[in-house]
Amino acid sequence: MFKYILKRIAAALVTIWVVVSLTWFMMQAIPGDPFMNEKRVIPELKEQLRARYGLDKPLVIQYGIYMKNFVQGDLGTSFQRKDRTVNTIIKEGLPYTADLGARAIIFGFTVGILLGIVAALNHNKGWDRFSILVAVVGVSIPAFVVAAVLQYYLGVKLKILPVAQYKSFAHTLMPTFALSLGMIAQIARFMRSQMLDVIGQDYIKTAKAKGLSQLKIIWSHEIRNAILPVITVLGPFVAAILAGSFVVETIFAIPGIGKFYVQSINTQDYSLITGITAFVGTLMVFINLLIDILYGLIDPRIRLDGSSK
Amino acid sequence: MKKSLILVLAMLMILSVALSACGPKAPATPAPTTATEQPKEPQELTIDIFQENSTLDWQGMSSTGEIQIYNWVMEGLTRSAGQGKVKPGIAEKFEQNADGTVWTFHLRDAKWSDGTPVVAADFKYGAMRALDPKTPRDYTYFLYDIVGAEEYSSGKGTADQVGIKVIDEKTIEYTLKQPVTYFDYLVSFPTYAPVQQAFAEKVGAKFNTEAEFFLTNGPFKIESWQHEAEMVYVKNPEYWDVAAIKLDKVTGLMITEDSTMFNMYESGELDHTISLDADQKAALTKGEVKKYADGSVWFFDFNTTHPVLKNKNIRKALTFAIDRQSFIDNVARQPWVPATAYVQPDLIPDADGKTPWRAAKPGYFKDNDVDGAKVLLAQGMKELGITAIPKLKFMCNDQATAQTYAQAFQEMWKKNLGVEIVIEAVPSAVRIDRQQKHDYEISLAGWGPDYPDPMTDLDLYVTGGGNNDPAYSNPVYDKLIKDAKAEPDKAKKFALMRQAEDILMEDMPVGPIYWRYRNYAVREYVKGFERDGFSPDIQFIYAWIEGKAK
Repeated sequence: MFKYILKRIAAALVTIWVVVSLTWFMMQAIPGDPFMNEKRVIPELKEQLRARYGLDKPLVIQYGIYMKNFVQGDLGTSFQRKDRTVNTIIKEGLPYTADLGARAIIFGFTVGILLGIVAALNHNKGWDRFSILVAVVGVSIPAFVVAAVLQYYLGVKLKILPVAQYKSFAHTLMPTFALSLGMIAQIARFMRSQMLDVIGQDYIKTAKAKGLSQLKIIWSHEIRNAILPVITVLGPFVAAILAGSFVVETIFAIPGIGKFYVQSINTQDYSLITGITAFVGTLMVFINLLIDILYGLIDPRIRLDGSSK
Repeated sequence: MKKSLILVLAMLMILSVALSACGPKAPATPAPTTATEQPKEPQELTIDIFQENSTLDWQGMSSTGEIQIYNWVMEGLTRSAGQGKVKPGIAEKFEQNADGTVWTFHLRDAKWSDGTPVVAADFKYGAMRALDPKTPRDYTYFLYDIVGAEEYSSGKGTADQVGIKVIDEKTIEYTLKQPVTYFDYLVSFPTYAPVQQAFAEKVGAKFNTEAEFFLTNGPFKIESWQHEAEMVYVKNPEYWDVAAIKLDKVTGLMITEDSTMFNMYESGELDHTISLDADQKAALTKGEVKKYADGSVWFFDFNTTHPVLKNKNIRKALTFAIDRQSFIDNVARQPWVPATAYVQPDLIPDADGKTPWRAAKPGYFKDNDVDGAKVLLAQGMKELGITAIPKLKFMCNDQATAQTYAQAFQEMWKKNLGVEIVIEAVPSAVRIDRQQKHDYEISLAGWGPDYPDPMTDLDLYVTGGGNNDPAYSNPVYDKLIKDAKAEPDKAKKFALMRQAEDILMEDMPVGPIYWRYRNYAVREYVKGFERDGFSPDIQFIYAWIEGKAK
C-alpha cells in the first residue's frame, strides 16, 4: 500500500506539472494581452507595464520564472486585480467555493444514495418511477437553468429565499440544490442498479433463508455491497461540481473562485487563469488519490497494488 | 439493526447541523431603538456596483467603476458636477494666467477622515506618485500637459523639473506646456488625487488594499470591503460639506449577472440596477425607469489600408446603407440614438461651454440613405477599377448581442448594396489587439469621452496615433488637430476642431452608427440619484430616501 501511494504521488506531481505548463503555454498563444481595453494605454506606458510584469522577457525565461515561483507556492500577481496576488484571491475565494462544493457533494451524495436505495427496494413501483423522473430532469437540465428558475420562483415570486449572495444558511439552499441536482440524478440511478444487482445475488437468498431480518439484510448486505462502486465515481463528481460552480457562483453572486475562470479568460489575466487552473488541477489529483486509498481501505478484498489478500 | 439505522440518521442530523454552523454567518441585526426614540426614515441605500475593481489606488485608477468610488470617498481640487462639468472641491477657488498655461488653486479648510488637514503638499505628492517612473500607471498621461511631467515619468527628466509648485499650505500652482481649457476638469480625476505622504509611507504597499488602509477626504468613507462581494460606505463626519450629505450608509453589491441584478431589484434586495434591457424595462413602473447618455459613439471601424476599404466612397457607402433607427428599434431594442456624426450630442459643449457641440451641425448624412449609398459604391468601384466588392470580414465581440448586431448589418449590406460580409466573432481583448495591429477589415467599435471637449474624440485619428485603428492619415487633419491644441483663443480652437470633424466625416475612416444611452432602474423613494456619461457614473452623494415606508 505504501509503495502504491508513493507511486501515485509521483504520478500526481507529473500530472500537475503537465497541467500547469499546458495552461501557461495555451494562455501565451491567445492573441492580445492583459493590458488591452478600449481605453488603451499609450504604447510607451504599455511597454513599461509589460516590463514591470516581466512580459517583455523571452517566453522560455518567463516560463522558467513562473515555474520557479510556482514550486515555492507563489502563483503571481493578477493583472486585473492589480493590488492582490493570485494566492490572496484563491485564499479569499476558496472558502466559498469549498463550502458550496462540500454542501452540494454531501447533499447530492446523501440524497442520491437514499433515492437509489428506496427506488431499488420499491422496484417498478411509485418511488422507482419517481427516481427515474429525477434522473431525467437532473441529467437533462443544466445547473444554471435550475439556478435561474429557482432564483426567480423562490426568490422573486415567492420571496421565501434570498435571491443571491452567500451570507447565511438560507443563502446556501438554492445554489446547493442547483449544483447537486445532476449528482443526485446520476448517483440515484447508479445506486439503484447496484442495489438491484446485489439483491439478486445468491448470498442474499442465503441470508433470507437463515432468517435474518429484512432491515439487517438491507443494511449489512445490500447497501454495504452496493455502495462501494458508487464511491469510485465520487472523483469525477467532485470535478463536475467544481465545474458547475463557475456558473452557479456567477448567478448567485457568490464570491468564490469559480467565477474567476470566466472573468479572467475574458480579461486575459494570464497569471490568474494559470494559478487557478494549477490550484484546481492539484486539488483534483489529490482528491482522486484519496478516493482510491479510501476505496482500498473500505473494501478488504481490494488491494490497489494488485496483490490479493 | 434499528440501532444502526438510528445511528446513521443521528449522524446525518449532526452533519447537517454542523454544515449549517460552518456555513456563512447571517449579518448581525442592529440593536433595537428605545421606546422613546422616534426613528426618522433610515437614509440607507443599496446599489449594484457590478464588480470588484482592478485597483483602488487613486493614481492607478482608470475604469468608470474605480473613478466613481473615488468620487464617493475622495475629493480633488475640483469635483464632478455631472455632465462633464466641475465645481470647486478642496480648492474653493482657482484662476489661470492670461494664456492659460498657469493654473493656481486655493484650498479651503478641509480634513482627512482622521481629522488631519488636507494641504497643498498632499496634491503634489499624489501627482508625483502618478508620475513615478518606477510604477507606470494607465492614466499617467493625464498629467502630461504639465511641464516636465512626461520627461520625468519616462525617465528622461527629474522630479524637480515637473511644473507643480506648492506656494504655501493652501496654494498650489500647475504650469502647463500649452493652454488646456479643461484643466479644471482634469484635476477632478483620481490621477490628480491628494495623498498624505505620512499615511502613504506608513501603510506602504497596502495603500488602499483593504478598508483599514484608506485615508479619505470625501463625502463618504469606506466602512467595510468584502472582496468580490460588497463595499459599505458611510457618511464621513470630517467632510467639509457634510451638511449637504443626507445618506448615512450606502451598500454597494458586486452583482455581475444581469438577470440576478434584476431579480434582486424585483425582490427588494437592491434599490438600483446598473442597466435594463427592453423586457426588464417593460416589467417596471415608469417612475422607476431612468435614461442617461453614457457618452459613447459606436461605429464601423474601417481599415484604410485594405485594398477596397482604402477608398472613402466605399466606406461612406457602407455607412450610409444602414437603417439605424430600424436596427435600434428592432434588433438592439435599446434607448440609443442614430448617429450621423461622430462627436456625441448632450455631453460635449461648444466654445461657450453651454451649447452642445452637435447643435451647430447635428449630422453629416441621412440615416438609411440607400440611394446615396448605391451611388457612392458605384463611384468607389469605378475609382478602384473593380466591378464587384469581394467578401469583407466583419469583426465583432463574441457576446451574443454583438453577433446579433453584426448579423443585422450583414443583412442590410447584402440587401441594400449586394455586399457580402463574413462575421468574425472574437473576445473583446482580441478584437482590441487586432484593431491596434490593423489586423482586421471592418470592426464594430465604440469610444467614450474622457473629458468634455470635442478633442477627446477627434485627436484619436491623427497619423500614427495609438488609438488610430483605421490607420487613417490626412496631413490636413493632423495640422488642424495640432493647431487646435496649441490655440489659446477658445473660439478659434473650436473652429479648428469643427473643420477637423468635417474632414473626418468627409473621409469617413470611421462610420458612426449610434450614440449610446442607457436605461436603469432606481426606486421612486430614492431622490437625487443620478447617472453620468462621464466618469464618475453613479452619483448618489446628494441623494436621500423619502417615502420608502409608504
